[in-house]
Amino acid sequence: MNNNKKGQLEIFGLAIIMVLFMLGLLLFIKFSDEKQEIAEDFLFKQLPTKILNTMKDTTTDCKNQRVEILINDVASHLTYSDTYPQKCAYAENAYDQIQCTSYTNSYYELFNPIDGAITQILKNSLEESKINYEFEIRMRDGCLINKTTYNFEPDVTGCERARKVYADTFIFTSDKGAVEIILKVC
Amino acid sequence: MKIPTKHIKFFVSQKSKISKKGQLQLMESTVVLFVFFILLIIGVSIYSNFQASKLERLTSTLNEQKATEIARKVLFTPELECSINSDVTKDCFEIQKLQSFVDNVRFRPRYYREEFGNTKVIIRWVYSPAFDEDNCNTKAPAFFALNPTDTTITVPEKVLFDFSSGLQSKKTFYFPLTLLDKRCVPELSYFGWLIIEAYS
Repeated sequence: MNNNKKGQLEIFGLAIIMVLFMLGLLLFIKFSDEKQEIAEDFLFKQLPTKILNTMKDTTTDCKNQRVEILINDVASHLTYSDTYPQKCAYAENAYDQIQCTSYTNSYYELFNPIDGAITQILKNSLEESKINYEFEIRMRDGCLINKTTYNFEPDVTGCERARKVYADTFIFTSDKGAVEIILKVC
Repeated sequence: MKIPTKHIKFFVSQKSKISKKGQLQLMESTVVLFVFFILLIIGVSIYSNFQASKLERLTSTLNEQKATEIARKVLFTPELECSINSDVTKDCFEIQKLQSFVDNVRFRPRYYREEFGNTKVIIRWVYSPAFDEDNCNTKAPAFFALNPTDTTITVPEKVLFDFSSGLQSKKTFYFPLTLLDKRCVPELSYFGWLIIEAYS
């Protein structure tokens, strides 16, 4: 009877050792899984910088002016609204912007939802490749000129639920102060 | 001298008792060894599985690093890079050089395969101003057009080279780049999208 109990205890001990051994192995495997996708991350991290860099030098339809010049023009001719201090209410319709054609100005050439330069750039590159993003142009004081978000999952806008977000900000100087161009990819 | 029968019986019973105990101990040792070996086998198999997956991950990381290297090589291909007043511009291809590069790859596939490995590189037109009378070009660049007379981009995506060799597993990398059109002075910069598929 005594021997029997001792045997049972030994088997119980062995079982505990086995469970601990398995648990240790599982934990080891789980935590050594971290170092994945180094190169992929490295390249993805560079994407916002490279996109903003290429975008700012792109020639637009507006008298062959570059995107950077048009953004500067929009920012320089902002009119602040008293009712909406955080939103540049008249960014779209400022009369003294560059007149690209008889009926279009810098803002329209950049953000026109069908063939605006920035709209098309973001749509044909990031959206086509199913990369989620948030794009924003704002004045340093918070006045928002334009914001575009994309997420191919339904009910999600931009990078709100993303695990990894990479971003870059370019700052230009306009007549009305610093203007920030922010791109986040996720 | 004659040994009494009762003594013989005693010795026999003692011997059988010892033998039974020995058998039990032997069985116990065998069971312990058996369990030990089973544990060892389980451990070794888990470890070897782990090693295999680690090796797979390492290969994948190496492939990614290789892909990064190839991507860099593609981006800095001297046959394609932009030069304005003998300054080389980063992340920029000259549109007029694209077709001759494709032809070069077709004529010397061995050299380029060695250079770029098992990759497929696609170039996508993303944005350019319209080709009309306001622009000095009234025709789309020949590389992105079906016919030389096309006034709009009719082939927005083209393969620069394809060395995938029927391989299935791939990693895709994207790079924005400037497509420089030197038909005008000053040159026009379009937005392009380079897609690099690294196969393994």
